[in-house]
Amino acid sequence: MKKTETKQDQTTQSSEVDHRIDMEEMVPYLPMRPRITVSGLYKGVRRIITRIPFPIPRPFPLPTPIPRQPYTTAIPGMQLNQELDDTDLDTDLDINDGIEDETGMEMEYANTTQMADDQIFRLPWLENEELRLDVDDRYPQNVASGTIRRGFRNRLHWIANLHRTSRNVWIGQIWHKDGNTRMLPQNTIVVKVTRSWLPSQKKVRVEFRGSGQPTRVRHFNFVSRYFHKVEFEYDHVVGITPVTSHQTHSHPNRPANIPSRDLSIGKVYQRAGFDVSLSPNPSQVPLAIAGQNTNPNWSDSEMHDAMQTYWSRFQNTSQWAMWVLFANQHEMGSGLGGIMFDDIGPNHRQGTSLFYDSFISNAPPGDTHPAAWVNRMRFWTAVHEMGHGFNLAHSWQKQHPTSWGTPWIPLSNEPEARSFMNYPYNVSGGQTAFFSDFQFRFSNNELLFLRHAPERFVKMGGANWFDNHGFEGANVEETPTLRLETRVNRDTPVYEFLEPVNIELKLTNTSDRTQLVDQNILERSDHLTVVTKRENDEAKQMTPFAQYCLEPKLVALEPGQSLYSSMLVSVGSGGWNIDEAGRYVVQICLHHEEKDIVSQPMLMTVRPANSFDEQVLAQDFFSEDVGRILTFGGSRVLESGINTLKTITKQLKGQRVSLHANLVLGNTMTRNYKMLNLDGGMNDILAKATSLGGVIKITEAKVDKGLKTLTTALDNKADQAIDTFGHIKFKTMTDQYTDLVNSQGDAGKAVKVQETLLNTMAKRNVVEPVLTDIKSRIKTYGKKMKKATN
Amino acid sequence: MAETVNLQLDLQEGFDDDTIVILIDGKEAWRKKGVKTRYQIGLAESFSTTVPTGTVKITIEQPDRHQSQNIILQVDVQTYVGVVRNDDGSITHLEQNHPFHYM
Repeated sequence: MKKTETKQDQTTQSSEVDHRIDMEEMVPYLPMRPRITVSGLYKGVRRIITRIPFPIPRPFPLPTPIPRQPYTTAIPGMQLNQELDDTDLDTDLDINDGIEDETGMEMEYANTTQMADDQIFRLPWLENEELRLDVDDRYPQNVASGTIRRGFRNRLHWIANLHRTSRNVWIGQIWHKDGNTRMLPQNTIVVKVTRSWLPSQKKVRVEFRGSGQPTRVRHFNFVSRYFHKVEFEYDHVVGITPVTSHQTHSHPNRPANIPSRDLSIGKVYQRAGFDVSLSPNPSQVPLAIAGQNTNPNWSDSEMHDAMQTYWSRFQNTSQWAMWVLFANQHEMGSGLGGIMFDDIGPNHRQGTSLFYDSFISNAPPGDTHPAAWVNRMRFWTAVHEMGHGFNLAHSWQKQHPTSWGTPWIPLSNEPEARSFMNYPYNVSGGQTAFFSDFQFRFSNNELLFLRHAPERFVKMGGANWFDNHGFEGANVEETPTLRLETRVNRDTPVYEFLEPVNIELKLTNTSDRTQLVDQNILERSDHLTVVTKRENDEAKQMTPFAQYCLEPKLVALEPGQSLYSSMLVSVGSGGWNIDEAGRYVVQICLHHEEKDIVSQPMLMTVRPANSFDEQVLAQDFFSEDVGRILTFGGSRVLESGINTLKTITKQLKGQRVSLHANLVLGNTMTRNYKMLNLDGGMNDILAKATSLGGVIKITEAKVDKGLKTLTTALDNKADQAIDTFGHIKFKTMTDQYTDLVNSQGDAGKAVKVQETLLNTMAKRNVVEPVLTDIKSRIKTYGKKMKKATN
Repeated sequence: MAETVNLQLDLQEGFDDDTIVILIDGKEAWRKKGVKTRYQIGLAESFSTTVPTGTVKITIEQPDRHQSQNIILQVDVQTYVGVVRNDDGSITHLEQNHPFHYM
């Protein structure tokens, strides 16, 4: 069948499509009639909500909505089926549907008192919503589920059972919520679909109601008839021919009504709701890898190694992709037909294996169609093992004790289920009874899980095998007593292309009592999780170049009082997080006393490069060396980074990145620098530096040159420098700079610089203690100046 | 001299980091700590020994749980015993004359 699929695919054009499983056929109905299904994945539509109540603004796009109250008055305890009938729903939902304005934007005019506050999408690309509607097509479960994501941390997954009230309307109760439940207090949904032959015209309007909350209305556009995408790679050991399909009529022991089909593994999973594609890079695995000899028996760790070696998509991360190895035999012997071996390491359930030198290749004695039996059993086993990869348990393991791990929802065992996840020979009547009634499908409970469980429970590499269900959401207090804010000290958070992004953190005691807090808590990278996300890209977590082991120093934080810190978020040991033009969001989570304090997402924009030169320089600038130099405030060792920064000070003089370059270059020059000098040369063998002739040499400071460079960074364009460094970093660096100037005997200049700092900070309404500190410095320098004059 | 046959015990579902001791006719034949079911195949451990044909008493001890249970079998040919530990700690078993299969 694999060949068949390939042949069918040859008719398509793109390489991506080449490996897609051909579209699943419709379920045959008699009499045949065209059907427009509505099940599938939908994405929330970006909407602009006007807060302008009636009268209707003019000119007004047609058709004019009828000014009347929306029908949804949330009354706690009111039963929807008592409240509404189908006619009401159809009529009223039409009235409240969105309409397009002249710009093509969808607008909604509604009574604002009826809408939840979160109706306004402030950051549409950070606040997305999905809907999975499962009411028709293959094996409908009459379920809707959805995911609401807001920022990096806030996520809610909900599931509702539905019942149909008219052709296009379903009503249901939400019975499962996973995540931040405050994001969706409502518990009743009304779903209205707009059917169309054109996928782009399929739409769903969902109202979330009840629990005494305002009605929340969301609109969704059709994306796919499948709920998730997944890719399979079938690799096989040399000499093994994988079975990836089965002709459903090839064996006479089958349900009488089963249609004759060449059923592939991909189609089975398509029917379960997955948009399946096959890897374009299948591999043959040499037998020698097993046990490093020609012994055909595989251990789990050997298979795991083979997966990492031969799977073209292998990553130690969670992804909708699975590796399937068709092999000879497991080291357990012929009693093992297959295994989802990947419960090893950090990302489980990515790999599974089938063993053809096992009982699955032995038809029962007397079977009239042994070849078909073997083919069916091999096919069945492959789907079964892959089901484990989707985190499906065996049919008799659903209702397991808590010591096995928490089930995602309470389930009942299904020991007689005619499912891919049951053992055929364990049901009453044995495998003959099983296959006589087996429709090549998963049970409804399993389909519910595959289609509607929170993604991490199902997605390969997500929740550990059989140990799902720990929530990823932040452990946020109901009523937080500390607030974490992030900010930048500029009018608009727009950054130049190469400009490093420094942000400031502010931790405030929002309770009415004094709290003891580690004074260095905002400096402790082990307590902070920094996430950056560029629009349309994956979120990245910043990993610091160094972990500072700081002794906790508790300070009393009075109500309303704050701690402050500054942080470079552009780069970490994992690379540059902000290195392209575009819109970004930064969000920080502070772990404090077993609780998480999460900042609001901070939006910023990075402009495109101004010139070709800047683009060329970017290739050298966004390097590890430059990242380290900027993070640690200088270096005399990382030569390529130093040279890049020097080039920037010459070629990009007017740009803010040159201020950063001058700061770190100047900073390095003004101090003696200790370096290990290995005259004896480096050696591959680890040895003591002294045995290689290594000595610590001190490179003398070039204070005058350094001060000149620092003046360029901090003093010449103070306003611009404060913008780019931020108040905290700028003051810290200026203090160091004036201390140095003062120590060089120029107290007058130190006073002048601090006076400029005082005026600038005062204009920016910096808090009084900072201004007092500056005044104190001016006074100290002034005394020295007077002494020198006298 | 009595004829002997092979007896294989498969510790299957329900084991979770348990210490298990198996006695055959009162003599310790197998002991292992950390017996844990691999749920994807429904098997924790296999143990094989030879026993004289006739009646055999297999004792499954769970010392950590202070539980012990006997299984009495009539063994005439090669025998495979699947042992399942229930939620309450009790043991149930299934015997057959061909190997258990796992997937």
